[in-house]
Amino acid sequence: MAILEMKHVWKAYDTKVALEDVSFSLEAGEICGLLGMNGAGKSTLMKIVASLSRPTTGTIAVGGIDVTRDYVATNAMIGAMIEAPSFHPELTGDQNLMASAILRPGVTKAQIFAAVETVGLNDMAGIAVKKYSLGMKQRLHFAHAVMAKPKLLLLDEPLSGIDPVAAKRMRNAIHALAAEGAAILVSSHVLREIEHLCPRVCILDRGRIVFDGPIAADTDLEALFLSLVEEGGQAQ
Amino acid sequence: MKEILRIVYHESFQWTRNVVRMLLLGTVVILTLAVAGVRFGSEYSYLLKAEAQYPETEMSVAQRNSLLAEYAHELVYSQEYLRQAEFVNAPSAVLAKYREECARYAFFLETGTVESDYLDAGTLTQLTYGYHGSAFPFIVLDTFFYPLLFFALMLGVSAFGMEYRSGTIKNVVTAPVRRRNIIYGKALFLAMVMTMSLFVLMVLSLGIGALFGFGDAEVLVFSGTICRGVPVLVLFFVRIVLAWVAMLFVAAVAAVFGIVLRSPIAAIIAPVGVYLLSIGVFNVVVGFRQYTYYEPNLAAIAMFYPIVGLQYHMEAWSGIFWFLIGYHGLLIAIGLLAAITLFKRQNI
Repeated sequence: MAILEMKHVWKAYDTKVALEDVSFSLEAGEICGLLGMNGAGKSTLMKIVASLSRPTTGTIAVGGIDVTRDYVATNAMIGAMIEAPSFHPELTGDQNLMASAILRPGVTKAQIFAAVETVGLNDMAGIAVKKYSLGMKQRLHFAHAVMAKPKLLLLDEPLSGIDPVAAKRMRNAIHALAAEGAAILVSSHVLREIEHLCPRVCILDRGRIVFDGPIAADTDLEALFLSLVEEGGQAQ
Repeated sequence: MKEILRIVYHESFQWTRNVVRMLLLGTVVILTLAVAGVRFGSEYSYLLKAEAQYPETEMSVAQRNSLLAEYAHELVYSQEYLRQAEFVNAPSAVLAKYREECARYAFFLETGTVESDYLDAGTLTQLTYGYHGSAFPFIVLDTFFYPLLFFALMLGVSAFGMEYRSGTIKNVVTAPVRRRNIIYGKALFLAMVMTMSLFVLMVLSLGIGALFGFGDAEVLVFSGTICRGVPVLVLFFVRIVLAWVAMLFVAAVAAVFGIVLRSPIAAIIAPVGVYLLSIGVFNVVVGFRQYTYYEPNLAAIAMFYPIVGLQYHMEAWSGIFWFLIGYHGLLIAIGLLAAITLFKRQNI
């Protein structure tokens, strides 16, 4: 069953086209890597799915529900980690998660503590976020995205600034969520991370999908990416 | 409704610490004012001045009758001046002055009271230089009026402007809550905090005022040609209500600008700029004459000086009270609708 289904989605900001006729779907349990150069439209795509932004045309359905018609229902199914981590600096890590949990019915304290444990922040959860390093904020951001056990997880550069131990924990958590049936979309500039994490890859170039398919263990992702994106860039 | 309450709970969870700090600070300032009143009040207190001016010993019947006769005499003169002014078609300011004088003396005669039993609005202002049970709540309100407006401004800015700057608005918008309910919830939270702040101020100032003794003085309130005595505490409650409306107004403006401009600094500067502009327009279009005592165009003052109109034109409270409430309520509602319309379409 397709958890995420995008059909002919366009997004334009004044004169710039950020997404051009994007059609894309993601099944339950699937982990897909979203690749593209800066400004290719990765964050825009995720923001539209998470209802942070509206598409100019096209339809996006999460769990069979149209995002533009009932974003309350679709947001309940989504966990998002988009752009820089943002928390109230005066509150502690767990207080920030509790504040968010208030807005997400059904999220229990046990789920919050489990999410904190997943990212290995147990010892730091009671400390104000203003004392966190960037990597710790990023881990808290991940905990925030997964605490409600989402059906669709959107991860924008999830491992950026993360130490290897925490990165391993987070990769394990991503695989565990996928095993439970969550669909996961991961964007990253680090091709090696995507190779390790995602059996399927989608490459965006200036708002258009130029590749969407599984990658084999012996696929040279860097060569594939550069051939699609650089050639496109030169042609442009 | 559940979504709105969730937003209120979420906001209180986030901001309780800061709100409590502000309330504690306010309480300390009020207590300091009270202590200062006790410590230094003996030399300067209004009570002593009032006692010196109007000894507590009861006025003799002869004295009172003499004063009332004097007022009757003044009333006749004022009525004659008014008749002559009407005959020569005098400017409206002159006519208003004599009408008011007539009303004032007629009021004294009808009620059988003498002027010194009352505090007029001007005397009330003087009270703020000294300490007196009835004056203390007004001293507190006057001292806190602009800090309260600043508090409201910061609350309004924190509702959206700061959330945009820190990026935490994304955590709210990606939650399963309708965007219009986010605005309703935040607005409700702001209203609750402001109500609570004024309630604390009211209870503390009335409580401490009661220690000084309220007395039974009334305040003379002028509204056009009508002059009446209003119990000082009634006037205080009216001013509390108007201060509440002023705070709501400021917070709403700051919140709306926060959504439009997505920046806390801009959300502070822009409303202040708009306000100064409105004062400029007022002075150019309406002119200072609207401020004159005898020909107040209170509706114009209220429109162009929204907050000043609320705070300083209490003389007209009976005539313009509901107008002020309605006018500011309308502005807040327009701001709310504009904010919802914009916020629903906004790319975050």
